[in-house]
Amino acid sequence: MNLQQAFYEHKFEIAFLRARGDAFQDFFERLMGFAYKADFMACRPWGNRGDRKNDGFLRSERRLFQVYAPNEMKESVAIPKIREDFEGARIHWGVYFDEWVFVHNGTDGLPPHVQKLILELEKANTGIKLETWGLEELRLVFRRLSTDDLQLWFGFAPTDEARARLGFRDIQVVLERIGEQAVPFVQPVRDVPMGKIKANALSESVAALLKAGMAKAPLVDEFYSRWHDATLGERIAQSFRTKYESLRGRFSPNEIFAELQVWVGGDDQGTPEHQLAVLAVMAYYFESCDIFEEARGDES
Amino acid sequence: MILPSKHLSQDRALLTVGVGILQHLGQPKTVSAVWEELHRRGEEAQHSATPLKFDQFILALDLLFLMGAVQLDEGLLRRKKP
Repeated sequence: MNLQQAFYEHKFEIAFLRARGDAFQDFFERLMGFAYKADFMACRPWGNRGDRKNDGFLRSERRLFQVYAPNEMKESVAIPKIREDFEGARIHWGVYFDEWVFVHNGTDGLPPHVQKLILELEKANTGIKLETWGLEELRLVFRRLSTDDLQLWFGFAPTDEARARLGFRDIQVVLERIGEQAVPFVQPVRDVPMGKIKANALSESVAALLKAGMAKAPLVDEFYSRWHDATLGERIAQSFRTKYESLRGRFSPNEIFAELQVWVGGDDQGTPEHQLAVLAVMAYYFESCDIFEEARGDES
Repeated sequence: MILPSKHLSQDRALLTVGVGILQHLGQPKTVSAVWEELHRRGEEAQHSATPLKFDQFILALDLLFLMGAVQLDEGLLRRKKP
């Protein structure tokens, strides 16, 4: 996986994890629209007629989609809803589709009672194939997107070429930015443990981003050694620790990484050089164990 | 700042700078003379990634004074005997 792919897949995962309810439907429509263009027909509720149990239709593959992304999947709500959605789709759109896809936002798969219902519905409706799509299925769709579409959706990604061009000044700008948020408290930092990526259950995408940042992380060290304020590195380390502590427990490790990225680099996407500078700073503090959990025992 | 840490190299820790000052105080000197010598030595050492800054030098002097390692005597800086 190259740096660009890693960047976009990470952005995609975060977008998936954050979207709920209508926002998840927007996310799904956007993804399918980019991936299949006019072949995908999004469907929105229309007055008192609603959407007639159609959240999107992929014409060439005769697939009808039903999107379901609650904050929490409850059996008592999910079962009747899925049954009603499927029956409604069959009545209103049955002649147009051969495959009915239940798109959900569950990261750990679907609960057994939902899976059982899907199988029962398929058995009872010969000629219609039922599928469930979660993160991994949507990721495959996401991989169809062109570079132009990826940039349109998530902005410019850092590239290997940009990494080669990255200069000292780019790092400096980032450091100055987070330097303003520093807490003036000096505390020694522990040695770097190995295997942190594994210990923190960070995704392959995040690992690739950190590795890209690692390549330029020595520039950060060099910057600190030349900067007029010798305490800057420690103050920023403390800010990182404080920020990380505030995120830990509330977000998954990958989400924490994304939050820190925005915290360091700002909301705007910035240039590839800027983003890579952000990654370099993050990799530096990741390596120095100021952020994320240490590796355990034999992983270090 | 006094001791080296993960993000503060040994060269920039005030204790290390202070040792450098003491090494140049074999005999009493003015503060300016010590600074000039240290600064010149830093410039000569091309490989040094961390050139000494004047404010670091002053802070290291403060530290040595607080530790009772140096004293100012008739305008000259001198090492105090333990």
